Amino acid sequence: MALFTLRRLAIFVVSLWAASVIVFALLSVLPGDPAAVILGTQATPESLASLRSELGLDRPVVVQYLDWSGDLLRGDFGTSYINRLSIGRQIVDRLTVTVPLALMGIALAVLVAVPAGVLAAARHRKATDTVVSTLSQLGLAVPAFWAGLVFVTFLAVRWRIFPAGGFPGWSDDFLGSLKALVLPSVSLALVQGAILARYVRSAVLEVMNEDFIRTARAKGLTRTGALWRHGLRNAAIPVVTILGLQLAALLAGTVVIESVFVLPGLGNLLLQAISRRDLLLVQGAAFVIAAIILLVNLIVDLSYPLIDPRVRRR
Amino acid sequence: MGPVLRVDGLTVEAGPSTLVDAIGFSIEPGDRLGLIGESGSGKTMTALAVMGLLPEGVHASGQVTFGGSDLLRLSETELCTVRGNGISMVFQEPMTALNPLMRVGHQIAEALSIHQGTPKVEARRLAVEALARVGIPDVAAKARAYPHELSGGQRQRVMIAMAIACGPDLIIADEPTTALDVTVQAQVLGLLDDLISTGETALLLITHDLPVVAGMCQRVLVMHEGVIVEEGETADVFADPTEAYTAELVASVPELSRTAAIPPTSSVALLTGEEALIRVEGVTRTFGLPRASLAERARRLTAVDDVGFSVLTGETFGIVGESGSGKTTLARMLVGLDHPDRGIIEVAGMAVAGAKDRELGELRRMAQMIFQDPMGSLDPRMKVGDVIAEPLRALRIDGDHQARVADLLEAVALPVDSAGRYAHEFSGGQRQRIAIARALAPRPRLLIADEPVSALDMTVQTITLQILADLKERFDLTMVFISHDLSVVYEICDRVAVMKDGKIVELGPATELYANPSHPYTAGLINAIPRLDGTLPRAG
Repeated sequence: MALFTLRRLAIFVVSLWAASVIVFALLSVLPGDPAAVILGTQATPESLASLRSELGLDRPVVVQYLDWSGDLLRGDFGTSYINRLSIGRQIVDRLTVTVPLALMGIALAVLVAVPAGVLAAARHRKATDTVVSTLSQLGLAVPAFWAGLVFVTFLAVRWRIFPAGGFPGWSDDFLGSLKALVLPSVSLALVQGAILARYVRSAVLEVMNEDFIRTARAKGLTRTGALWRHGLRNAAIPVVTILGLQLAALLAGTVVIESVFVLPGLGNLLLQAISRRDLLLVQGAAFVIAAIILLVNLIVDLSYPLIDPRVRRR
Repeated sequence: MGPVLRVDGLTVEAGPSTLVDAIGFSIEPGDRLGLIGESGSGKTMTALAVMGLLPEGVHASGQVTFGGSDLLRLSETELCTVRGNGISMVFQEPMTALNPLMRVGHQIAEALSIHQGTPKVEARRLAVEALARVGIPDVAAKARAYPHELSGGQRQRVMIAMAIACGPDLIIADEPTTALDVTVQAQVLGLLDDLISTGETALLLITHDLPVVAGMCQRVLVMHEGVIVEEGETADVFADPTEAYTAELVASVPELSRTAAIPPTSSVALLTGEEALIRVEGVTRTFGLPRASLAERARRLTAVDDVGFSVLTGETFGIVGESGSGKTTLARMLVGLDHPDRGIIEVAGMAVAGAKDRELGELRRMAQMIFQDPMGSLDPRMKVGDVIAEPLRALRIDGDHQARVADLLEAVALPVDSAGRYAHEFSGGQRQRIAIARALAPRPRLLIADEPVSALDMTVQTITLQILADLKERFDLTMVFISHDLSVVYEICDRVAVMKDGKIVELGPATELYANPSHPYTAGLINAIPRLDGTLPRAG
């Protein structure tokens, strides 16, 4: 178990390093000189050169990478070329919106999809199963941004239950902030919940066909009893894998949803940075997103041995 | 006192097809009834119908009387009080029949909690006692083990402990030892025999294996295509079957299970003076094992340990051993699918050990392999003709492939129009014959068969072995025949090597080795084979 954990941690660290290399490399091959962007069209070659040396852009790429990644290790993301603000500060600010949004989204998806999927499997080929399956098909077919717009039209514009967009900030208006995240997280949860419900349903159905469920019933448990006592934990193994992938997909989905609802989240920051060619900020934000996804995968990996004793020896 | 279980006019139907057709039988308290039949005969469906555990879409009608009520008319809740309490069941595959995520002690305790409302702590203490009764060593630790931490035999003991936990009136055991090694089978049968001979518990033993029934049951039912074709005292039925089908079953029992002693001088003359087609010298193959903890040193498993032998041109060479003995690893190395850490393997003078894949082209043509599972080893989306012709294409052998396929189908006694059909349209035995035809396509000199008949029914085994023996003559083959089943190896092999823990412990002519085993392990293996005369083997 200790060996398993250590190995996973090592993989996490190596992946994190690889992510930093990839993010840095991609942005350095991208066209567009930050110095030219900052100085605009009036720049003279001399002013460009002096700014480039001031920013350290005239140094070899490897040195620039070592410099940037060395600062990262100390938690320093550098300063934006455009607005001269600390990048780390900006990212942390935006995370206070995006992380709660993603967590609310995945929590909603799990809370609805897991019971629905289990119920559908338990009532296989009965009305409940058909209803859940149809709804999840529907959820899959509807794009998140469109669902968001429909929610805004009815729940925000027409009935005024939730705000249509914007974010008051946690310290200024906690309840208002929470309310502001409701519609976006529901939009996010819709698609992921639909996918999850299907996975849960098929995982449970598959487990219920296993020999050990038959053994449990031969022991005197009812179908439902066997499902609760033996089925669910076994079905959880594939579902946890999917959940990890879904959280990553959901994080990507926040980029779109944050623009639909005008939320000051990480996705929005990334979009702005790209459009302003604020490359250092893009680099930092992309790395943070990659790091979050790797962290989620690490948590998923570390949860396997808790569920499944067979993994503990690997 | 009446019978513990009475079955009248039991019919099991799945849509339009009838799986069990109006059968009837009864079991007295403490009685042991054998139910034999081949795959698809309806014997497992009969058991599941009694338990009320038929799969979705399968329905039972008729009468199943147990404890004064008709089980087919009980509600699900009422049935739950019978299952595991009045009637309990032991299944075939002890690996998949136990919940992999639950400690085995808890799985046994669960049966007690369900039926007797035993508090958790008390139930777990009783579970440890139950484990001790089924002969598991170091029970306190083993009760806390997960199924994957136990051996196959121990897992089946756990299943039995679970079945006897609530003191049932009837145990239904469905092929309880089929998945086990022969010595472990002997131990588990002995255990089952001891456990039920002490009480009033009755046993319904379902199996395809006639000698197992002969050793365990006074009475036997023979089932064929959903109907009971013959029943009676086991000894009488096997000695003098009245039905042709029963006679065919009895005839398919291997010679080794039939006779108490092997005549030391018999059958085949051994080849002498022939040159060796295969030469194996000092072959060792080890695999790395996962480490359990940081403190532990990395360990290696020695699968094949300093093995040496030769196979003469034209002979059938048997390799027998129980699971984990290294026989399959050895077979894979003979055809260059795996390579030894050290040692020499030569086939027809060609160095196989350590050779690169592209250097093995000639070997691939000359040496072909047949595997155990005829379903899994045939591509379900390829027509049979293409399956058989594939080695010809892969090895770029020219000629009229279609004619070759037709010849081969005829050789394995399949109709020529089989070439246009798919593997799933054939029975298990026919599929294995397709696999044999494919192996023979490039006109090999050497055939390596790894458990080729283990997945087949008894009567089909007999036919398949006969076809293999005929083909060997017709195509001048040398054959290496690998099996866990000593009886099958005895039927077909000239010389036999017995493997244990990666080593060859004994090697000799089949008749001599079986009549006069010189190694105690060989003797133990032979003694563990159940016999048709009803002597139940006792593994020491």
